[in-house]
Amino acid sequence: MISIKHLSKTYVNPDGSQFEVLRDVSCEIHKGEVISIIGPSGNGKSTLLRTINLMTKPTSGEIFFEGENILAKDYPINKLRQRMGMVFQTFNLFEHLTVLENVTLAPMKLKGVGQAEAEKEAMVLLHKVGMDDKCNAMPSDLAGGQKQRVAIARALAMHPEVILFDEPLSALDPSMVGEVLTVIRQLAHEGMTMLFVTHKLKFARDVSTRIFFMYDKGIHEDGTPQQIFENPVHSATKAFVQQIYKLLFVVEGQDFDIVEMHSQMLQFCNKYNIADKIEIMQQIINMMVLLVLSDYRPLTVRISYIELYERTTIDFMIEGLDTSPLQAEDFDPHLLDEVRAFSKEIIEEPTKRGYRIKVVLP
Amino acid sequence: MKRLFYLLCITLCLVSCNRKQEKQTNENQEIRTEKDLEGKVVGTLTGTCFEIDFAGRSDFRLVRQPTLSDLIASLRKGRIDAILYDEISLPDTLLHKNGIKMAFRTEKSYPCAFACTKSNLDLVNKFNEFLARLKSSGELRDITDKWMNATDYTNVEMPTIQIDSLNGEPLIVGTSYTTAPISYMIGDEWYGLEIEILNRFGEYIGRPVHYRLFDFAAIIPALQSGNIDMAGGVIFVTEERQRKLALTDVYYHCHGGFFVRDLSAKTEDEAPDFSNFKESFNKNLIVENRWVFLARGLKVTLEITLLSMLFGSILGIGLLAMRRSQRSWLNKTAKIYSSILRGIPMVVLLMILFYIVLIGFSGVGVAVVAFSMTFASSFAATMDNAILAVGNQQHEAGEAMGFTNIQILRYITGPQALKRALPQFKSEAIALIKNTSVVGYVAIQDLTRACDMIRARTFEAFFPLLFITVIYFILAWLMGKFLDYIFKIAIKI
Repeated sequence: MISIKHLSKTYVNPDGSQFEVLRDVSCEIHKGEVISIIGPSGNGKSTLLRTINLMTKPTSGEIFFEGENILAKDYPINKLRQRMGMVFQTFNLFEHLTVLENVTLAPMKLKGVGQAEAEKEAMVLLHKVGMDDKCNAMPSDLAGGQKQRVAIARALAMHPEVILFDEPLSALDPSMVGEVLTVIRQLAHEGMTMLFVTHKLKFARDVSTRIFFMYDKGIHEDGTPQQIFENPVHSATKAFVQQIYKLLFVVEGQDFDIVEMHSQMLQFCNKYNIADKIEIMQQIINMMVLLVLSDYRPLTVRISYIELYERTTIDFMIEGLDTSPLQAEDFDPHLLDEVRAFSKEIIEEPTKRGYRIKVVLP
Repeated sequence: MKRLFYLLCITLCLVSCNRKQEKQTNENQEIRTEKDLEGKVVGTLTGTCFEIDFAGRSDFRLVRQPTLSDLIASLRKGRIDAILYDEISLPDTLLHKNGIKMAFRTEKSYPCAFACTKSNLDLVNKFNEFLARLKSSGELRDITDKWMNATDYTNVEMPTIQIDSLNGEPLIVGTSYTTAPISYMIGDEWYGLEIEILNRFGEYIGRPVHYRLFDFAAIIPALQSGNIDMAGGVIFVTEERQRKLALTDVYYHCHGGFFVRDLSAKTEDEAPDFSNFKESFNKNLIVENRWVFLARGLKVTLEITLLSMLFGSILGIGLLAMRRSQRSWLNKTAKIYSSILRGIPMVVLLMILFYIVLIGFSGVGVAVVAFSMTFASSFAATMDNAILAVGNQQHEAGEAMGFTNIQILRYITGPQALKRALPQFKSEAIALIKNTSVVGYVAIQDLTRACDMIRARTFEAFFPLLFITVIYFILAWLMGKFLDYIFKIAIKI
């Protein structure tokens, strides 16, 4: 369906310096594939996606859509774009139009569909994304997840052959990711050809039929989610997909700087898009450090986040201790009740360095 | 209404300040001879022979003003001590009414003639032929006496000329005079000594005569640029003019005069007297159908404003497209255009167009072109900024859906930008109305010039100025309402 050959892109800064983003990239995209483009920031993920509908013009190379070279001089770019939907990180709804008008604008103005027919179809699409009851709302009245669902309906209204998603979930509050994900899953199930640029590895693994791992200005590894996430060929891929993000601090006395600790935790959560976890994390750490383990110092606290599995754990390590503090005679087991209520699992284990209590977040 | 009330209060305060000033200068010694002028301020008209002959005098200071009514107002307010002017323009009746008298004549007398360009010698020859006949038959003397001795200028008999029977090309004459008895208007009709001579000449050569009003200093340029065929309005024959222009034979010799306040005369108080409002209203608007000036001026002002907005908007859309184009040379052209226009004063632009670029255009046409050009520039800048404020994201969404740039502007960014641009747009449009008040420079009788013309007949400043202040204020208010309405519709489409 789409075939990209020897594509390169170099940006020229206003000061004349050059910045190469893509170097000699080639790939084939077939009908019905759901492809996620993942990789560290600054490796040309978005640039690759945006060259497909020529929102970004490549410096050299060829792109074929249904056998035609879309970089040919007289190729009708606007006609091409009408056959490709695009969904943005920032939704980009038309702020002066209602939800319904957002969806009907392109079919009416670009395809000449009559208003009644366009509205009828728009209502079907809005129903599909669960936004039909908000059809007369203005975009400014909607929450992020709702906006993104409208944006998807808007893209679908042109009956696109492929939809390009540029980080569709990144700007969403974590509580709203689910509703958008449901819609995307449904589209995948219906066989829609889709390309995603995403930071969410779990999403990529669950939704895609194929993964492009972008690294070093190109597609470093191209394979099924199983291959990329479980048996990556290249070490860079492995390092990326299995990466564990950690935050460590040591509590020495009773009067440690709890504000500093909280602000570090907040930064950590924001950086890895797990801001929804921050409250539970703070509650658990406060209870463990100030109540449950208040007699044990120094205490090492480590927060780890594995992106692929979206698993967050907090380890409390008491060095030099070989028996569980939770089993001690003077320990009040009720102190742990609330921690238990907040967490998914509490694992105690002796290690060589000392005794470790691992709290797994839901 | 409240705002209007404040405006009135402020004006009244200013007026009462002026009264004090008047008293002070009235105590000065009366001017009788040239010696009395020592250390005084003498006003004259810009561009006249007096300006040249009396410039560089060490005994008094010469100041220049654009119209006779300004000079008279200044004299009465005590801003100047004397007016230096030709005596035929200020006959006794007019002087008496305004509490002014002639102190003494200049020694030199000045011959008056009409002027044409050198390329138009034919016309000069014909006029001289005509004038010779008029002189030999004694008619010229009769006509001159009739006008010079008239007491009631609203009731001087003009020969009727069947304009319909004149099938030649119109003869366009420029004049700077709106004062009796030389040339003045009552309603739509021109009267006066020069007018009668020229109308008779028109009849003689079979061409209807049309008059255009200029500032005195602008007449000769208008003649040279071909905007008028002939220049009138007490043009003195000087060597320099003879070198540059083709002057007709002399039809009148006149002295200059120094005119001063007549301290013995009971002067009409120039300060507004609201108990006499009815009379002032009557004098400035009803007598001689003077309201017609205002009505026609208003029509012209509206015409220029609305046409300039229309064409300016159309041109502005083009400029906007250039500014937003991907091609850098289009971008640059639009930016250069805007910055050039921003740097040229409106009056200068008008005169450049009128005297140099658009020769042969009517004054209103030139004004519409000039104001369209500036309005387009500010329209494009306002809209460009408003579109920038809408942000690039929606533009990008439209682009990705396959809309062309024009379609994006039309359906997506344009309507939102319009909403944002409205306040700025309103102030531009109101500024446009106010800026049209300078079109008098290119012989257009707009609202401001209409006020000047009323002042030239009544020599009163306060009421005519008050009337046009109110009219401009209402115009600006209506413009705001009108734009609210237009934008409401435009955003819906």
